[in-house]
Amino acid sequence: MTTGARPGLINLFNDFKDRVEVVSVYVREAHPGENYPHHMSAEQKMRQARDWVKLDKIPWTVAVDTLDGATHEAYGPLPNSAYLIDRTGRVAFRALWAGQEGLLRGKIEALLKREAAGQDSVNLGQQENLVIPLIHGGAEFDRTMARAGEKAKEDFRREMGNVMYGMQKLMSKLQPVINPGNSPIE
Amino acid sequence: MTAEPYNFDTFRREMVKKDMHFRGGPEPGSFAPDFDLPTVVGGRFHLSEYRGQRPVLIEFGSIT
Repeated sequence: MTTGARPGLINLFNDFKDRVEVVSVYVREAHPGENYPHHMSAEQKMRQARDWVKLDKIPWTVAVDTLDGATHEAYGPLPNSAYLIDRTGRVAFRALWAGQEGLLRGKIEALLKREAAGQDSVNLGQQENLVIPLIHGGAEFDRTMARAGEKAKEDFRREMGNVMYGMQKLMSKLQPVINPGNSPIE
Repeated sequence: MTAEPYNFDTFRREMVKKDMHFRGGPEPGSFAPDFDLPTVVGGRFHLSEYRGQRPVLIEFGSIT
């Protein structure tokens, strides 16, 4: 799902980098496999974060959470959530899944507009929609599973069933159409 | 049934179900928990340094 969110976040980063700070917090592996297993040390977690930045060519700041996920836990430990923090340090908006460029763009623009008008503590609500993020995430299923390793793929198939697995495989075939913004990555 | 450790080694259906809704974390309008963490390029990212400066968009994620 993180790689599925990438094209949208790249666009947002490019369009707002002068006005909004963008940071990813690297957390536990969502689909641990032989190549990227669950973290057993802070050093390993840092290595896997660096691999992600290199392979996905992430241009914004990437901070690595502690081994026990202290920051992740403080924000509700979701696999790929997004939080928009206003100038006062309060949460202006949060989305269960980050892979929604249009939604985040609208909220960022609304926040900037209200802050420019002198308003503090802007509350723009929250959103839990999975449909759009799942399309973008599903399109990266093959890539993500190939990176993670066979175990991750087997775990997904066993836990989610053949129908869901087949859907993800199908969406991966449409990857170039669904996520053209990911064409620069390996 | 034993609780999964934070760094679980196997993806489970149960986790997907839990991840369909927010569970905990700061609600809109409340203060974002501060953090000060190492970055992949050897620096630090300290959230509260941006207070009074500019908004921050935070994404949580992993390579898998």
